[in-house]
Amino acid sequence: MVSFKFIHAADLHLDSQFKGISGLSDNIRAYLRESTFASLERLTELAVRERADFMVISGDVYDAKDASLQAQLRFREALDRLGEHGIGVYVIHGNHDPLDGPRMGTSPKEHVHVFGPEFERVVAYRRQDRRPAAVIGGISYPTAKVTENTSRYFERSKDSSLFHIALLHANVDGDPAHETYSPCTRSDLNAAGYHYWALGHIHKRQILQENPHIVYPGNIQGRSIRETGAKGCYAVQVDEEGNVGLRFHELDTVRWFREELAIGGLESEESFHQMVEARLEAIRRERPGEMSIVRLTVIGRGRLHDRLEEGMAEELLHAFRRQAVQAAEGPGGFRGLVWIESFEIRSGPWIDREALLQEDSFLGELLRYGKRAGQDERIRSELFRGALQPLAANGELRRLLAETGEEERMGWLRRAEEMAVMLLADLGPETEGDKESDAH
Amino acid sequence: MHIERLQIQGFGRIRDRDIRLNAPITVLAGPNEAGKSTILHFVRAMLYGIPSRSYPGERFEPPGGGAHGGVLTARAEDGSAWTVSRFASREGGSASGRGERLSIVKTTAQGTAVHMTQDDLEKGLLGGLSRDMFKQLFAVTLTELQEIRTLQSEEMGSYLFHAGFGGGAGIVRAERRLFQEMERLYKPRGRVQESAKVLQSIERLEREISESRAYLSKYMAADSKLLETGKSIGETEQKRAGISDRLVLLRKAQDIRPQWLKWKEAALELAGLPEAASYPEEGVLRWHRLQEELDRLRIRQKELEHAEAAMNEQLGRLQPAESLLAKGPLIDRLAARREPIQVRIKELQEFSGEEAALREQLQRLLRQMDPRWGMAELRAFSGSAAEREAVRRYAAGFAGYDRRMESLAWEREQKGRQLEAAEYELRRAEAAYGEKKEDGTARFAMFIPKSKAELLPVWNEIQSAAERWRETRLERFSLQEMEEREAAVDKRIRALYRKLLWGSVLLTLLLPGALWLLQSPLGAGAALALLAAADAGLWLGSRRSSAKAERTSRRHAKSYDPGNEESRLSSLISSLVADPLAASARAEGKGEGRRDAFFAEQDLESALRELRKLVDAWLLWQDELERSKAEALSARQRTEALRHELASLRRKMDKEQGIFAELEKEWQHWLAERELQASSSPETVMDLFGFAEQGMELVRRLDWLDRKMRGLEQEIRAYEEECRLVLPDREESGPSTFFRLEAAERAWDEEKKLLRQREIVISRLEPVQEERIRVNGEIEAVTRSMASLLAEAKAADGEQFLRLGAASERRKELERNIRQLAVGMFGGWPRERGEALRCVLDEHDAASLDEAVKEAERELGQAELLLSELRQLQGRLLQERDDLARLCAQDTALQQLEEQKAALKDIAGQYAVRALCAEMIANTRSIYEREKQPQLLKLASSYFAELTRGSYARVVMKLGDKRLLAEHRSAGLIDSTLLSRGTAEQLYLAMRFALAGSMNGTTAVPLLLDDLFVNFDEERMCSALDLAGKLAAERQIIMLTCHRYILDHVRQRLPQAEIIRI
Repeated sequence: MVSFKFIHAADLHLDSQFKGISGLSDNIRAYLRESTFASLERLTELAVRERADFMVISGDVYDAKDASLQAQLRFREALDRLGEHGIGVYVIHGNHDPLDGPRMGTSPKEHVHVFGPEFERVVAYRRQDRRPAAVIGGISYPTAKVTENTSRYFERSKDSSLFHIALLHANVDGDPAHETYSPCTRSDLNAAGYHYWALGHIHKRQILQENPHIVYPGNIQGRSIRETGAKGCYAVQVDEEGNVGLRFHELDTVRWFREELAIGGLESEESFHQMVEARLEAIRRERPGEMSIVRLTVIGRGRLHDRLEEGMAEELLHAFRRQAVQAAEGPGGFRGLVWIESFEIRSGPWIDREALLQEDSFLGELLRYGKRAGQDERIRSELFRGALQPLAANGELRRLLAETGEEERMGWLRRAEEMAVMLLADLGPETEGDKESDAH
Repeated sequence: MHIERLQIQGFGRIRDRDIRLNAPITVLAGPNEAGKSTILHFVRAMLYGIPSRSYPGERFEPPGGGAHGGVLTARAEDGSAWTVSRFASREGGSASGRGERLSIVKTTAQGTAVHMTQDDLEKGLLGGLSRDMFKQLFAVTLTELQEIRTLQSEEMGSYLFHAGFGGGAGIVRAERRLFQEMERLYKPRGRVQESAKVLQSIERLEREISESRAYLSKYMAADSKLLETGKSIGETEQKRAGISDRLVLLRKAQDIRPQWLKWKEAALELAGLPEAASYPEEGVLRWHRLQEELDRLRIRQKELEHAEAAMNEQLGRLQPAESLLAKGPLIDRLAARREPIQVRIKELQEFSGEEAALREQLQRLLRQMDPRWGMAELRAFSGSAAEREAVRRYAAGFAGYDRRMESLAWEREQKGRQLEAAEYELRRAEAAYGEKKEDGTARFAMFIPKSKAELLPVWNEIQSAAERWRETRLERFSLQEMEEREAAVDKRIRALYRKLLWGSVLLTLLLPGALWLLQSPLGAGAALALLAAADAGLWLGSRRSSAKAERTSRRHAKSYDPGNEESRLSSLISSLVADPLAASARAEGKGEGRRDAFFAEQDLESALRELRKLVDAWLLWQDELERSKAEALSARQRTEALRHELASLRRKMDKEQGIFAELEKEWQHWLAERELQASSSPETVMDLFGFAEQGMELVRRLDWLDRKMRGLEQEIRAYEEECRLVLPDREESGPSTFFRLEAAERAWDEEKKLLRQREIVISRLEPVQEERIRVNGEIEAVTRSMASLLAEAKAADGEQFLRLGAASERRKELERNIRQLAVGMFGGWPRERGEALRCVLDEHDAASLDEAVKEAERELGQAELLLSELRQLQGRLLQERDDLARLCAQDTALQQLEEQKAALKDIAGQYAVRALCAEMIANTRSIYEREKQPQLLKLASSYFAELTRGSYARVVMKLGDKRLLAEHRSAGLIDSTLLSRGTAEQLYLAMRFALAGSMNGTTAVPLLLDDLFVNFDEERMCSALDLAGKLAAERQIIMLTCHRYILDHVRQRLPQAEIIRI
């Protein structure tokens, strides 16, 4: 074996949209749109800087099956740049960019190998002396939906003692958070006898196993609140003995954060505002040179909840966004810019919920009903059907509702409960006397 | 509360009527107009005030005037009686109830009467029930029963929603607010809602996106088209290049056609010319030039020959004389030396005069020195520096001898005197020594050792022995003293111990006794033991000290013997002093001490002292003796030394004498050697040296003159010899030598002139001869060149050569023309193109060439046109592609769509939350209505069921709506407004009963029912009566009716009822 170095990236999702984000100004929007490309540029720069011998990309280069023109042009540029430095690129396509998608007809590049729908094996060479460095096996998705376990096609090159790398876009051990394409198990992969499984598809970075390595590098740019934290790729150093050294490199241009704000004990809007400021400042300090997006989840119970629900959250959000828009147009640009994706209100009003639950009152009954609905799927679906009937009248909203996850629905339910508490709490039995005397 | 009595003084038609109500149920029966309703209103007016004039229908003013009012007596739950007396004041006439005379007296069970106010009445008697409530719930007429409004009033609402139903209005408000917000957010088919805007922009963006989706395919199409276009451009360009190439060719052909014709012609002529052998380059010219050169050279040759002949003739004329020629140089040299030689002859004459003078002077000097001496002697007496030095040495030697002899004589005298003094000193010292020795020997004869070395050790030993003896003596004294002291101390200690022991024993006996007496046997025992131990200790202490004393005394028992030392000392002294008797005789003190020493230490001590004095004196004498002996010795030594010195002086003087004799002899010898007079002293010899020097000077001068004269004579002779060689031999040397030499000189000068002329001629002749030779060579070379030219041209002679030259010129010209034309025509054209051009020229004549050019031009125009079209197309496509790339680079529609979707989702979320909230409220309400009905509705339901005999199971109140619903056994929920009149009345009645029942229980306000059952069927009326009967157990019921059948039924069913006819 010879020692060599390669870059393992996956799920570039070029020209991907940022989900769940709204109220952007044009230039912020343009910046976000550019972010996946910027991350791609960093990837290429990294490969050049690290003097990698080659790069493997484990699927989902493009975000959509009908990859955007921009994405294709930029990817081609990146390949050209790598080609200038003699860095080979080995690409498979995944469920987002299967082979049957429309592609630009380009002349095949010598340094790029795109794996076909059938299993292929090629030899990668070391850059400095053109010695064979590794055998790379890979398989691309011919169509978007591959439900077959394609890992079993992977075979070692029998007459080669080189390091073996497998490129596969798959959901190993059935991660329920992602679509189960090319389902396979860890033991399937181990059985193939490859040294390094360069996987793609799961956007969360994880090293499932070492020796042989099974690695998801994650995507290179987070695109929604589900993809928080640092994103990037692995630089893999393989020595003469075939020992594998992994080093993660951050590539993301925009990073997603999720922060919790506890309103318990807060009295004034001002203090809440300061708390938000402080949290934004903390993020800014963490990523001073880059843009960040944060979802602020408001938790706890407090007097501020009512005000938050009654439009304060909305106002604050607009104020901060306005501020961010101005900052983005200012001299600092996007350096240290923090965009609030949303305030997720999970807080409740300043009321003892447990006591309410026990109370023999309308509100108590309502909360008990809500609890039942939360526990009983049947009651819940009944409730949702009844409540969301009007929304279903619109096709777009119908689709949107269909996409809504259980978790989100539970969130709505909880918020509805809190809203009911907020609206009805001052009508509890303890205020009845006042009402009566008022009547005279 | 129980109304006991109604005293109506004047109210409506009723005047002065007193009604007592005793039973729980009272039925006031009477026909219409009897005043049943008036009584109802009277009760209301008594309790809450007579309505003002603005409500005449309810005021019930007595039509005939008079008192308007009455008295109501009621008993409260606590047993107190309330008497309300109320009369409307006629004068007042105000609309309010103030214009009335009111007296409320509360008489407690104990009989205390208190005036109360209206408020007290309402609170105390009526339990806080308001007028309206009383009117609507308790004193009910059919009108009020049927008025649904009565149940809808706010106040009623609070009663109705009492016990947890509360917040109905709040719920409605909440629901209303939720619906408002929901409507703001979204409404199906709404246009102004937020969601609608978002949906619209989504639609717009989706359209845009579908457009932008097409970018890729457009781009790809453009790309492929671009590729195609590029290819066609390439092809067209190639074609155009071919055509333009051909066109260029044709045009060129057109251009060069005249030249080409000329070229062709020239080529033909060239072909016609004879094939020429090689003709020398520029042959003709060269030929002509050589001819000219040859002619010129021939003329020159002739000139030179002529000049040479003339010069040779001239030379023959100038022949020189051979004999003179050989002597010439010598004559020149002699002539040059003639002058100096004449000077030399003069000098010679002067020198001979000087020599004669010098000889005279020398003779004189010699006579002065020594008459015997001549020149030779003078020369022998060299007078050199060495000789002078020798004379000087002899003089010094004689002088040194005189000086030394003088000093030695003086010294001898000196030493003689010193010797005499020394000898006297010696004699005196020896005499002193002898005397001293005699004296000492006599004085210290008793000492055995005679020398100092023997005596001193013995004396030292005596001293050390004496020291030891003294020490032992001292020690013995101190020991005795110490023993005495110790013995005294011991005695004192023993006494002390004894005293302590006694005291302690006493204590030992007394203390335990005392303790025993003090009832402390244990303490006594302990004290006894302790003290006994102390006693024993003390006793032992005393024993030990006495023992020690004994031991000390024993230690010094062994005594010291001083006798030993003394005997040793005396023996030593005896070894020192030989003759005791002599000793004692001569030194008395000592002898005594010695004798006494054996008896007393004091004597020994003094003996030792005496002995020391004696020894010291002896030692002093010894020293003096030594000193005088040494003095005598040194005096003798000095004498000896002086004697020796004198002897050596005498020897030295003898030696000097010898030296002087030898020196004298040497000097005489030296003089004889130099043949000087023997009597001469060194000083006279020194004077002789001075004269000799003068003489020598003269001699040297003479010698020099001699040499000089001889040289001059020789020179003159040599010169004359040479002159003779030159001059003719016929005459011998004579005074005319110089004269003849002059003549010879003159002849030689003539000869020299001739020689110079000849040389000039010869120098001119030489270059002429050389040039002639060179010209001959050149002529030869030219002739050779001409021959070679002819040979090269293979011409027999010059004529032929010239003819050949002309032909060659023509050929060259033609060739140059052809070449020039070719260059003009084909210059810069590559070979194959040139070939093509030639072909074209060969193939086409002028007309067809023009034709071909036109054709090619047309084709070229077409190709250009096509190409520019293609280029435009390419530009357009490139533009399109770049536009697409730029468009897609700027295209953020998808992101915008995503944003709008997010916004929509947000709205949907908000909507959903609100909708869910509303839905939950609604659902909870239905649950509440179904399962959690308040007590009131339950009661009402049961009453209603009873009234309808089970036809209706339930009364339901819609929260917020305040709609009353009845649930029919089979038909389900029916809105109260939709029920039949009777049933509705029954429902309302049931509600009233329930409401009255659910009033807070402190006061049971009586129910006054004004003929409410008129619309009931018999069956339900009976049920109503039964129900009333049941209720009467709880509160007073006053029924008013005008129907006999009701009365009948009352009688039947309510035996407890009191019926009062009005």
